[in-house]
Amino acid sequence: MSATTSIAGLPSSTAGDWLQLLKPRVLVLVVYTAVAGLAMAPDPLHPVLAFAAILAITVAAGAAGALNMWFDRDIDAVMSRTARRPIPAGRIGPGEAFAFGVVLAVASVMVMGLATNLMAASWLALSILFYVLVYTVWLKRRTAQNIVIGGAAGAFPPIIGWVAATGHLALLPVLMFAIVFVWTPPHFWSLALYASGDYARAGVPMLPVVSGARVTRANILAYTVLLAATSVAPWLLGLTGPVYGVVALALGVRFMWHAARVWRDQADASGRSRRNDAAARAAFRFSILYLFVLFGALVADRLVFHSAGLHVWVG
Amino acid sequence: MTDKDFMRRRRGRSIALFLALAGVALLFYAMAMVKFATQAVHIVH
Repeated sequence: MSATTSIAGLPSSTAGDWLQLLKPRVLVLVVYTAVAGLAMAPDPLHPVLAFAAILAITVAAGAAGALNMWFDRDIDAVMSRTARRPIPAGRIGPGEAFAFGVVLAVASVMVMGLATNLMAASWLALSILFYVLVYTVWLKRRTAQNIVIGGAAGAFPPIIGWVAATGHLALLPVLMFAIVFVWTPPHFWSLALYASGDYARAGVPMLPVVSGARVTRANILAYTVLLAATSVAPWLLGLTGPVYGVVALALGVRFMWHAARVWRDQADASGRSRRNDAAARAAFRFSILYLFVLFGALVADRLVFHSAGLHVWVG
Repeated sequence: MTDKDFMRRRRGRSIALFLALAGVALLFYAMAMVKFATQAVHIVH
């Protein structure tokens, strides 16, 4: 058997390529916020079932990512940031990626239903459908508000984590959802400011492409102010203690400082940054740290001030 | 891609798939044990 004639035409994917289909970097944030939702829930959940729930949320998010890559394979091939992904690079076939995504999506919802409850499984199914159908298929290529509305998909994990433990919804997980929802636009638009050329080439109507950098910078600032206000709501409503309140205030001020730097960034006549979007890059990096520290503070606050509410399952 | 590369990648995929399936089987076993134990507690009480 000759290597060049019989094998060259076969798929050359590695296990790592399949893992890459799941968008592992995005999964970190999904798992983190889901664990936070689970940890904040007042009802205990057996560690094995909690692990299964978190795994189901992780796999569901990965499945949604795989289906997103399947649908977006044409624009991924055009953008330098995504051209090396397994489908546009030809390492995994589109049909294989689609089947992989569907199987994982169905399996994750099934595991969630078996491990916890039908309500959590329903929320999980909704989050997958929302990301794939509402964001990827419907909004992403049609409107500059794609990531504003589509951001809801990434905000579901805290709700799912909470509902997995309790079986019902409450105000705190809704506020956690709102925080991630409002956090998404300044996070993505900071990235879009310095990747707008990529999006323009692919014909994706991101805000900097459609409305220009100036409008995007103003929107980043506006949403960051809204985020700072939303983030202190759990404290103001008495759902958390002062540890979270102080951290949320400090992080909000810092994020607004970053957003103000983006807003005041020196730009040319067309609105493009004269400093290679250094402020936008810094704001993007800080936005990730922001969410990690904020949700970490939420859980830490519960541990310190409301330890009765954070149960460790003792059988 | 050479024969050797192809075989190495296929072995890697097979091992990853085996580990994933073994993990799922273990997870279902553990979940079943927890559910049975919880039901047993309810029946006793």
